[in-house]
Amino acid sequence: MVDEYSIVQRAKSLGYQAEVFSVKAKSLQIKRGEQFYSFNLTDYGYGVRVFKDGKTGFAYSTALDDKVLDLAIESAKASKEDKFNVIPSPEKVEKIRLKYFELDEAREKAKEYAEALGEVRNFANVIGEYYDFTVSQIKVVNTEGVDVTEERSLGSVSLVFNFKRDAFITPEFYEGVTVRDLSKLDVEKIKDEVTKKNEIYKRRVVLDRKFKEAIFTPKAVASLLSPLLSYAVSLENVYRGKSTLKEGELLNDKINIYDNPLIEWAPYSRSFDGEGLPSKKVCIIDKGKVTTFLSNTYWSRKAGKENTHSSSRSYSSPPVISSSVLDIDVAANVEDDVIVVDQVQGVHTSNFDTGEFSVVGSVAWYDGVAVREVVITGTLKEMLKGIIGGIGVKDLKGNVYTRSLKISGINIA
Amino acid sequence: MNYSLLDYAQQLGASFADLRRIRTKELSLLVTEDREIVSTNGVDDGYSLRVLYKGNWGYYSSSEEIIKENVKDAIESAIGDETVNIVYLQPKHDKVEIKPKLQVNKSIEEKMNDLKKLREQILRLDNRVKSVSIRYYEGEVHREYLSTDDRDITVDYTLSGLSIVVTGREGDNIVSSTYSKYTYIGYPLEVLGEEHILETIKRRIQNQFIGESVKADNYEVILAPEVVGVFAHEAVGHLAEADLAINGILHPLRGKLIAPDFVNIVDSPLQYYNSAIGVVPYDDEGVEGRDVYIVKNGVVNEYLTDRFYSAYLGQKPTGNARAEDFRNPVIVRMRNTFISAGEHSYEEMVRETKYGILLVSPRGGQTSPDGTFQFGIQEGYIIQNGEVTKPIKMAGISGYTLETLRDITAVSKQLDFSSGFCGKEGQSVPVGTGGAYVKVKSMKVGGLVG
Repeated sequence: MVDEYSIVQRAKSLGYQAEVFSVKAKSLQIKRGEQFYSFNLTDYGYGVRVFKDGKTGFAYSTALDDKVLDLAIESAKASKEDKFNVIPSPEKVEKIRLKYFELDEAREKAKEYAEALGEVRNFANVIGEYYDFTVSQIKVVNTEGVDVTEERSLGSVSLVFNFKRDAFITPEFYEGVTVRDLSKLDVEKIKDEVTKKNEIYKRRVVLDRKFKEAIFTPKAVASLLSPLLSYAVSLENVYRGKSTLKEGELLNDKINIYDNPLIEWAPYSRSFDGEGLPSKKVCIIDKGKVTTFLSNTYWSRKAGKENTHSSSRSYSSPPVISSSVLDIDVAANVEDDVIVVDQVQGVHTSNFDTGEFSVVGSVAWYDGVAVREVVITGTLKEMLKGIIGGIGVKDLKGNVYTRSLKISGINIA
Repeated sequence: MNYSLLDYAQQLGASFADLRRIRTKELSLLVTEDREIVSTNGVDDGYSLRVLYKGNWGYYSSSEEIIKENVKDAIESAIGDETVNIVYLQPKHDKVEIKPKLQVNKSIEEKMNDLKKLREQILRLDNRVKSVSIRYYEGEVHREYLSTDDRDITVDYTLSGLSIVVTGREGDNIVSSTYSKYTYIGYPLEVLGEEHILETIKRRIQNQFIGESVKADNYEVILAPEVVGVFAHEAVGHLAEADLAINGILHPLRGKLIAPDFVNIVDSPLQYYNSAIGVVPYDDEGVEGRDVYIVKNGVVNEYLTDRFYSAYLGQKPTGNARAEDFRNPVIVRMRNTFISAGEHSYEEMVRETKYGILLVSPRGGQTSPDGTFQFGIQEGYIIQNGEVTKPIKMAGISGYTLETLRDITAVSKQLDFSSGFCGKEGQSVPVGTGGAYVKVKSMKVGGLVG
């Protein structure tokens, strides 16, 4: 029988060092909308990396057989010899608990959540309700002794909705909660947000003044600041001159930012990274000073820096550097007296190399009244430098754990 | 694929069932200023069974072959409000194979060597170029479809392309430009042409160093086909996807004039342009694709549908139901969306512009069902006294779809397509976007920073 271990053994007998990253996932997605559906998925996949004489090759398959190793060897032959292509050596992994439920349990829970969200449908035009649950097993095995496995669970409830007023149709709103442990999934938070948006969007006016400061809710921080920051703190991008951040640079003494994959309850948490190496809490920005960039085995060796074990991957791709949970520490000490931005669109049009962005604040309000035609321009560095303080309690949205942030030095018109 | 699974679904009470297999053999190469790696080499293969049971959909999808037991799982999970009704079709058996016109039989090493040569040429374009990432992708796609209304369809095609990001630096000034084109015609270096690729990258990177920042304001603009394509796709096409349309701004306007009568906006399953990669002769519900006139002679005409929305809206099926792979349900998607050719010439449109902006190449875009759109511009020029003059720096444009359509003053005879990958509900599918040159009397253009 072919399994991860037999692949690794066969590679060894052919003179290669090898690694198998495998995922066995089962998931359930239920969508409630014009068309109801339940989607059951069984998804198994295997990514194989081989190393020999400074060359590395990658291949993957949804079926585990010897062909996938042959493809990886074929890939290695076409790659460039590079002394930094090295297979990771094992390190002790301290497991954190990441699995809290089985799919059958989730199926029942989904009914409860749908019922609890029922009253929202009385006043909001709900375009789609999504209930997603995944239970997966991740395994990394290599010829050097890395052999780690863990099970993870992830559940989320999300809502897409708008309001149809006599004079206008509001933008689409997205609200959701994602958890590892279903007992922590609180749909009341979604209901509160829908109710809040209903009040704010009773009317909507054109934004007729310019702002140099704005409050970004955790959701807006997750969509705008997080992707730009994750890109800029990748050691690969720093090394290749594709980041405007510099090590040791002082941005703003009011903030600490960590990449912390060890927050057990948070989605994107993990005991080990995509290369099977133990997860670490990494301080990226310490009292405003840029201290550490995220790295993996290849880039840490190439740049001569610490390996922060920040590899992320699916089975169909080799490991790349990625942030896990971005934990932003800012004191809650500012007033809620400027425009609030809750959703942005167009972040992918940003120039990630320079950190420049020009996005639309598709959901925003000032003084409790919704505003439209909000264009936000600035740079990542200006945003980080301009953080004045936080408001409210910390919340986890996407991969960011933060308060709402009041930020100056950006243009809103 | 096994038809007996569909029979079994019917025995268990399903009023309809279909089975898809999507197999993609993929190869992806990455060449940077100092690395050469094969970033993907593999086979993605899986099955998706769908049943319509008591008016609800139930799916069972797997990377392993589906067995009888899984049919029960699909049936048992079909819960909901029991209101799904669909269009049933006449039986049809067909095999479509779209063969590349410029196929090149090269080994992985030979393809890697081609990319290395391209990299050297890019690095020589300008001494301020500091980093380059060239991604080559090819995917041999095989899609099979079986349904209880006796549709037995197979579609085969190959998609390949290049995505290049170049970063330049002069002191603290960092600029970057992208070039991304995919095609179903054949080997991308042959189809696209090395000279064209190099010229485009050189122009874009140099323009970013010398370009002027645009003061945020409303301008008369000429949108080139690449930008028109993004507008047609983002600002109009998404609003016409039936699932979004019924909750958006287009639906109340169906049958009404929203643009000058020379404006036609179409979504098409097959266009014979290199980059029109929304190749969907049959969709993932076994429906043959047809051209959809979203806007016909300026009037909101029809929407993009799947079997459900065809029944819901009483509209002839269009063939717009697509799934990225077996891991995803079928949803309404675009294919090749474009503003069709008009009667003006591009030269005439420029000549008649006193002061405006020519917007040549976009950098992504996004829209909302309330009709707002936003996208980035990576290549553009000032038009002054009827002539294209200085380049502009990276900019963003935004507006309201209905106002922009209303403000169109001319559409050119020339037409072209670009390739893209459209994201919706977590799924990404290849699409073509395109059109003619389009002149708009007023559009909000803002410098990226300022």
